[in-house]
Amino acid sequence: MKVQLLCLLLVLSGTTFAQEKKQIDTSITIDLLRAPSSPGAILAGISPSEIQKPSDVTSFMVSLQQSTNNFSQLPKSYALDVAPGLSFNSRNLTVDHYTSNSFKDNFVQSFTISAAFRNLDAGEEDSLTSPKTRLGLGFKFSILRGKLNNASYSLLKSLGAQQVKVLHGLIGDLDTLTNHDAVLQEAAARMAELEDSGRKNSVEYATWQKIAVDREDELKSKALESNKDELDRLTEMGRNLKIEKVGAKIDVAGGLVVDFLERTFNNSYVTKGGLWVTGGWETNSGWSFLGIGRYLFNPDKILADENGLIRAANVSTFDIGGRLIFSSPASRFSLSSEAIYRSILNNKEVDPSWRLTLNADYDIGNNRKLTFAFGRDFDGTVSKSGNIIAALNFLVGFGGNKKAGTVK
Amino acid sequence: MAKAKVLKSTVTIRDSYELNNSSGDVLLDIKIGSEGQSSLTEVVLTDPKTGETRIIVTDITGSFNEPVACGTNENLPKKVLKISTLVQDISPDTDDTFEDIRITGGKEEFHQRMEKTVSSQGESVFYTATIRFFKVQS
Repeated sequence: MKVQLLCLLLVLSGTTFAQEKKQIDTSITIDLLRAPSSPGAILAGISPSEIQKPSDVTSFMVSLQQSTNNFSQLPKSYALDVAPGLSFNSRNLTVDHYTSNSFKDNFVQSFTISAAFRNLDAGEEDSLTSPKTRLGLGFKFSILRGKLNNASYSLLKSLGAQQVKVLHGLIGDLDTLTNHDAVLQEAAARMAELEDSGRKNSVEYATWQKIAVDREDELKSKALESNKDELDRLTEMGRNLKIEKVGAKIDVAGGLVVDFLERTFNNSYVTKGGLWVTGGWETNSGWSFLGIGRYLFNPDKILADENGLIRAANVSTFDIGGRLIFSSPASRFSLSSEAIYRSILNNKEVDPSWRLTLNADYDIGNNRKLTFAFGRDFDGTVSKSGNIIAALNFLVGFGGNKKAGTVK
Repeated sequence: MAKAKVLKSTVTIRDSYELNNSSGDVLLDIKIGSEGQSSLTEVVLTDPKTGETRIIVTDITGSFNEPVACGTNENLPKKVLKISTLVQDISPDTDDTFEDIRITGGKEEFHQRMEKTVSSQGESVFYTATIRFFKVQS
């Protein structure tokens, strides 16, 4: 780590900094490039709070019924996100599927379809002269979601072992209680008689069934009470469980908006679109990298055009950003850096521009830190701050007996 | 596929399943939820007459990947299926848990779903289902 820090200092100290110190505009971060949660609906101009997210077929039908006034009229607007893999295939629900990093599990659990439509009247928003229907369609899915980090893996393994202990304890105790319980034995015997004689649908059967269920619930409470210590331990482990994943993560999202002029099917055109690719990498040692690439067609706001110079239609933009972070409780060194490149693909009025920020610090003990901050803004202005230059004499101590040399 | 009979705030089923006159397998399928929860299941088949117990599955985590055979319509009458499941709430997104049980291959489909919402993160629900196989005696 000392060598890494020394190299970093040498490289940075050799850079010629502009004399002018200008504060970097930190209002633009790579978080601005992130894919929207519901690409189709957001591109179509529907607010996130209006988007329906049915978890199964029943809740979808209820949502549709409410939006259409009991199926009697088309709503003014409607948007929904559906995750088919979770809504219609509930085998993938439990945590063992979440901890998997296979492409199949990742795709099935993350694939989401986002759809929306809005009926715009003449004069509303950009629908100036004639009414139109706006349709937004989008998707998102994960290709890689990382694997469990060492700590999470150990915690889940311990949790599983404790579950085995608790379940088998409960089964054993409940078996002992039920096998010797006269009420339950009688209820079971009477139910069996009624079943075998074809009277399962009788009131008498329902009565004995209720007696059996109530009695088993009572015995179950006793079994739970006798396993209380192990159950409490399991609860505590579950409460403190934090599942974190490391390794490569890749998400893809996209969407487009089609306007139907005069609300007719054969008079339509694509008015907006977007494609987002988000990738990341996290390690057990504390390094994490996030990168986002974004292509937009006719965005509401062009990132590269802060002053609103561009008036042309059919503008395509491409933005890309990256963030590198190193932070570890085991290390005195921490670093964060972020870079953004923004461009307009089919317009020469605005040049591409980029920005870089870097913050590093090294804990030298006794609540003292060597800090360094470097920034280059979109307009090319470079700034720096921190105590690292003034404190370069500390380098002698980092390198042992060998002197680090003079840094100009 | 029949819609499940939903038993809200219920953790115990005592019921029966009518077999048919074929020699076909009777299949059991279990789905666990809600999203992100952790679970463990054991299923055994007992013969009350002999006291013999056969383990169908043990220590299965999550939902079944596919239905499992409990036996055939010929050899299951009067035997009892015991399903024991521990579902633990470890999902930060929901406190809901459920166990959805489906039995097919006999006279009709059996489909019931027990549900319970826990009061705090980390809690577990102990679901049990005891289902007796039978044929109506003429």
